[in-house]
Amino acid sequence: MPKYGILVDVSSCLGCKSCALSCKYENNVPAGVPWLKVEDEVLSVSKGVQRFSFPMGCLHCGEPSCAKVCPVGAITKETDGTVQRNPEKCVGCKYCLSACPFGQSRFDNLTQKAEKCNLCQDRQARGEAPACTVNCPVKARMAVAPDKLKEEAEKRLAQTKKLGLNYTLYNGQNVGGTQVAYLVPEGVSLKTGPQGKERSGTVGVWQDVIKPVAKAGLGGVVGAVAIAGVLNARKKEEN
Amino acid sequence: MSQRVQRFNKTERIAHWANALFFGLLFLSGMVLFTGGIASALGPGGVAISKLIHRIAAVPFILVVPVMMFFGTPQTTKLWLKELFSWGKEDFAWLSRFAKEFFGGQVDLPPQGRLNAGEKINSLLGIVGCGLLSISGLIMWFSNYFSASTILTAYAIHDLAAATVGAAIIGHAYLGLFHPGSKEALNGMIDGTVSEEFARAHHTNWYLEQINKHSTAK
Repeated sequence: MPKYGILVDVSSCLGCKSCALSCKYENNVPAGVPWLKVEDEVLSVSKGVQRFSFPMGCLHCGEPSCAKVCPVGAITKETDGTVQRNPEKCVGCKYCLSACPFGQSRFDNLTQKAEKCNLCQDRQARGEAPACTVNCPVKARMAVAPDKLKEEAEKRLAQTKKLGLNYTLYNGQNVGGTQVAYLVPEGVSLKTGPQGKERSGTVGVWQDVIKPVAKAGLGGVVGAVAIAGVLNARKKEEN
Repeated sequence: MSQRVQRFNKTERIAHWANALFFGLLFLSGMVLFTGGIASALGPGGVAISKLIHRIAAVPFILVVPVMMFFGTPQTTKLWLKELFSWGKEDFAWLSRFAKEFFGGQVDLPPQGRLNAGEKINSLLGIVGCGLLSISGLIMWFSNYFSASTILTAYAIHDLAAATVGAAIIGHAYLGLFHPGSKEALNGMIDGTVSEEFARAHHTNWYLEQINKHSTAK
């Protein structure tokens, strides 16, 4: 288990971008491929217009689609619960970009490799919380120990309820649970938000069906050709 | 010296070898991109070169053959396509007995046209497979214009088609280059002609057609 997961409270996020700034500063994130990005959505709700801001980055899924589709094993689900990529192995095929249900794998045109949040692996190894959580002025993005996450979420939900806001916990129920969880408004569909995103049905078809069949087929043909070559050569010698 | 019979014209031959060259380049460079073992053996530089080769070879692969087929000698293309879709009893009988011949057995194969049943299947797989590879490849290349699920489907189709055509071509290359019974066919793709004996023995129906045409022309 990692020391910290993250809880994002959409009801209190101001959209100030200090998390994205801290992330960029801490991780030397290349230009144009933010690991963390603050989304802004203005929606008309029953009481008028409401604005939602929230930071989006890798959610570190329990069953990550990106790791599933990566043909060279450059993305792995670690025992500490985080999803990590190995830039040395990445061949830049972009498969993970379309596989991520949340669109959080991004392509760096300079290095020709995929980029994403690593949940501040180095900081966590030193026992420090992820950089994005440190400078949040309103604790909308909080570092929370994964086993304390539900408890903290309920505490927060009770507070938002008092303000008359209906929020609910999204922690990746449909993607095997996520290390980064969100408190999201109920009955509001945020286009860039985490809820309602599903793993595509085509994820796994290549890996579990096509690749083994193709390997067996190609191997079979090569084997048949080799056998035929030997048999025919032997026949020629006999004659 | 025995008589030679014209089997493939210049356009067909050039298109065939262009397709072989570009497919070969794409197949090998594609294998690098999609198998972790080869990729890590080559290192980052090798991977980058493979990606570049894959992109560069893709352009003539998509363009050259269709352009030659439609603008080179469209008449032969038409005949070829017609041939691919005409299947008789003899073709199925040929297929069922071919396996034994392939592994060095002695069999009487039923008479065939200019292309035998196996060559027809190879051509059909080539057309369908290369078409699918081109379309799915373009979707992956210009991924900004397509939805995530379309792109994901394209990845799956691209690989399935590559493996199918790759398998067909490995068999095809063996038969053309090394198989004792069909080595003569290679000449048909180099200078366009095959020996009269080969034509009579392997493509009897076509050979008789040619003889008839020739005699009526006289």
